[in-house]
Amino acid sequence: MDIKITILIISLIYFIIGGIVYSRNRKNLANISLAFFTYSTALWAFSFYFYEHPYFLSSFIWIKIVYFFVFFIIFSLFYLSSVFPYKSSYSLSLPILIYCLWSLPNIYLLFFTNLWIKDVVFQPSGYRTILGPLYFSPNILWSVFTAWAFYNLIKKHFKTKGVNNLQSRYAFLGIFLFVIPAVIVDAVLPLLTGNSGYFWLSPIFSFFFIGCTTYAIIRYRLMDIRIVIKKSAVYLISFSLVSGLALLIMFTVKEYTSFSTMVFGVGVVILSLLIFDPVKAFFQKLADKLMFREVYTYQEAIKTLGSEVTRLIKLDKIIDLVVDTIKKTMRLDRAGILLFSLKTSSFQVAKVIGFNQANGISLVRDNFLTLYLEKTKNLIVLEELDFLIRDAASQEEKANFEKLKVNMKRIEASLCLPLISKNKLQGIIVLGAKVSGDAYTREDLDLLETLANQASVAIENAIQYEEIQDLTGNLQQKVDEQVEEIRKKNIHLKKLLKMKGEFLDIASHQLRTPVSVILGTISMFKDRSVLRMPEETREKFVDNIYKKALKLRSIIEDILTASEMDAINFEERLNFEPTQIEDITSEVYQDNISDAEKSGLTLTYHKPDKKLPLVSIDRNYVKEALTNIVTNAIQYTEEKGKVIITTQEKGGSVIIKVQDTGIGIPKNEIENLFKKFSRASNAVNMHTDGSGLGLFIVKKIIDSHPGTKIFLESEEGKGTSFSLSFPIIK
Amino acid sequence: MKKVLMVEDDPDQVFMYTEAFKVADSDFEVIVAKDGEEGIKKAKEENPDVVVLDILMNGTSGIDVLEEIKKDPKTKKIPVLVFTNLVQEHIKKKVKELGAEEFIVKTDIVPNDIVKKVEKIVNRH
Repeated sequence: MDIKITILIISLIYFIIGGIVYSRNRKNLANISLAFFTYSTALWAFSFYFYEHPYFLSSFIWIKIVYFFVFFIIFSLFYLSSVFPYKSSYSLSLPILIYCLWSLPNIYLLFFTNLWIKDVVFQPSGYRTILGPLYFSPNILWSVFTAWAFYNLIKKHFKTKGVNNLQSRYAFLGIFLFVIPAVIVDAVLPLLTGNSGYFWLSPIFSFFFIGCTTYAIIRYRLMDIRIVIKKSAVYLISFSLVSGLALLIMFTVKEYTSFSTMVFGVGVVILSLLIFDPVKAFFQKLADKLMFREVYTYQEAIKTLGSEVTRLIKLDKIIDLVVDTIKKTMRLDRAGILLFSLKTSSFQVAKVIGFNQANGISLVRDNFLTLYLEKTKNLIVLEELDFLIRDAASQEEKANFEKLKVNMKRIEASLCLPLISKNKLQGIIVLGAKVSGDAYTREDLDLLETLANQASVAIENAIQYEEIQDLTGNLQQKVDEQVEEIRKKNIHLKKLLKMKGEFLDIASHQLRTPVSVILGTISMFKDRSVLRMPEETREKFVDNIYKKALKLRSIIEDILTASEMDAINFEERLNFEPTQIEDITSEVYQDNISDAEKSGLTLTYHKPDKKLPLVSIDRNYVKEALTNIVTNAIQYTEEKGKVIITTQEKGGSVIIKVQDTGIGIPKNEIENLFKKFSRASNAVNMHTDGSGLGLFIVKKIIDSHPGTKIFLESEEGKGTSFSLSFPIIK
Repeated sequence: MKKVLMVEDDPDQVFMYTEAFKVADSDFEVIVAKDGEEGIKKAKEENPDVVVLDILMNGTSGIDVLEEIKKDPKTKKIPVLVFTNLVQEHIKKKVKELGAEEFIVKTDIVPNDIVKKVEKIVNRH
């Protein structure tokens, strides 16, 4: 099969590419001019095929048509260079006019004279064009405008930044790979050697330009051109080496052995396939060392960073490493990480370098940007938004991209990389632009996406680790607190238990004492020994039995009252009624006067000057409380002492005061005095008939009366004074 | 006539036990001390044959009295019968250590029996 069929195939491919480019954006001048260029090139290649395989017209005519299309190719190339990546500032009318005016005489030369193309002759190698003396004329026009196109692209390359820069670089690469070889085979070789046998290669070279430019126009996430070159070089060298080796083996085998060529051919192909990968790997390594080392180094650094972060467990370390490494290795002006904080329900700056924090990086809330990132889970590049806006399918989509652009500009971000964990946006890696002005290439973005995935996992782990640490810390603290609480309760319980033990000791003693008298006395009645005693002794015995029985009853009542008061609903059992306090105080006074006298004390009652107002109390319980206070005062006051009861109205209350000249209560024990089973330490050695429950009962009764208070003043050795204050009924 | 010193602050009990000694036709004169202080004093002055000693009293306790009696060479030979309504083991142990002859709980014994007990102790010595 004739190798030149590739020309036809290429021309068909061009028709398709031209259609794609045009349909991508029918209004963009760059798309239009590239489509025009592609169609022209397709027609040019098409005609070229027919020049080689004349059909319908002779080769002589076909070559003229071939050259005719070159006018369009060069024109659209020039036009493209003026509008891509953006439209040049100068007016295009003059250059177009010059081009047209210059073309017309040349077209005349082409079609109506032999001065450009003299003849076409058929040779064994194929058709050959014999050129005329004015062949240089159109070449000057074309060279001038091609150079102009070169110049346009070079200028734009140096003037632009980011994606436009990368686009112009692609276009430049394409034009270079197309024009230089084409000039060699179409002009240099024919002019120098008169050999035009390689003309057919130029349509193939045009593929470089169309390929590169189409890629730059229709894709906006472009590969790093250095990597493209590197990869192409590696593949080309590896392929040439392996296929060269294969051909050499085939040739050698054919020459020196009688083996079947067919069998060897298959073997060699298999061998080639097997060694291709190792060879490629070798050249890849070599290329990494020799070509564009900085690209390789930073890619490696980002890759290493990815695996490094997954080994870290501390959140701040991960964030430091990610931000610092990305910023340094990619040579960015800014880099930072925002993390979603559950506490504030907003994105908080975890770390930023180079951002002006006041400019909004710290103001990211749940906005369109974060919602978009969470929904799409894709990174956003600010520059790409322009393309997305341009190519948006609907007005709504367009508006959304505009909104994203505004959001990103507000936080000074060139790139937002979502950190997704469990389908939630956990944070954003926010990056600025490259210091060099270069765009983020596809490789960069792929690397960053991989890195972001690894970083999200690492950050999620770190956050969980921190939570667990916090939890452990809190847990320890709580355990400590509870241990302390239990320890305190334990001490309290021990104290209570000790008090209860002491109470039981005292109570058992107090219960036994009357019992021993009752029992002992009755035993004397029983064994009739009393019969030998005088009458008054017997009477005294009966008195004593009666008195001790009463004491026994009072102690039992105290114990029962105290346990009754421990019941939860004690307050509900009280029966409040308006009462004249004086009634209670005089009763208690009357009840205790004889006991006081027996103990050698003076019990005095100071009646109020006027009638006291009524108070709302449970009469029986308050009487019990007062009785307890008065008997206590009598018990703890030595002979010749005094106990004075007074009642008075004071500041909206009725106050009962019981004052004694007894042993007093040590200051530090006043607090504990109202607790159950409590006795002041200096009362231990005092023989009393009390149950030890008296003041506990008093306090309970007073506390159950709303607004009622108890006051206690005491000085050791001098005496004690208890005051009960009852609010007057209004 | 032998002397029994009764150290007891409850007058009702003093009355009961004194009458018990009287009615029993015993060979005892009952000397009464109404608190610990008086008990120590009388133990030294009266040189009783036996002491019946209460523990829980106002001021000086029975334990103090017992200690004092056993400390003084003049009185340390006098047998002491501790007679109380305190039932705790540690008190019982303590008075035994201090050299009390007997530890009797008041509710465990009737007045007639205490008279017999006192006679027995005195005869033993």
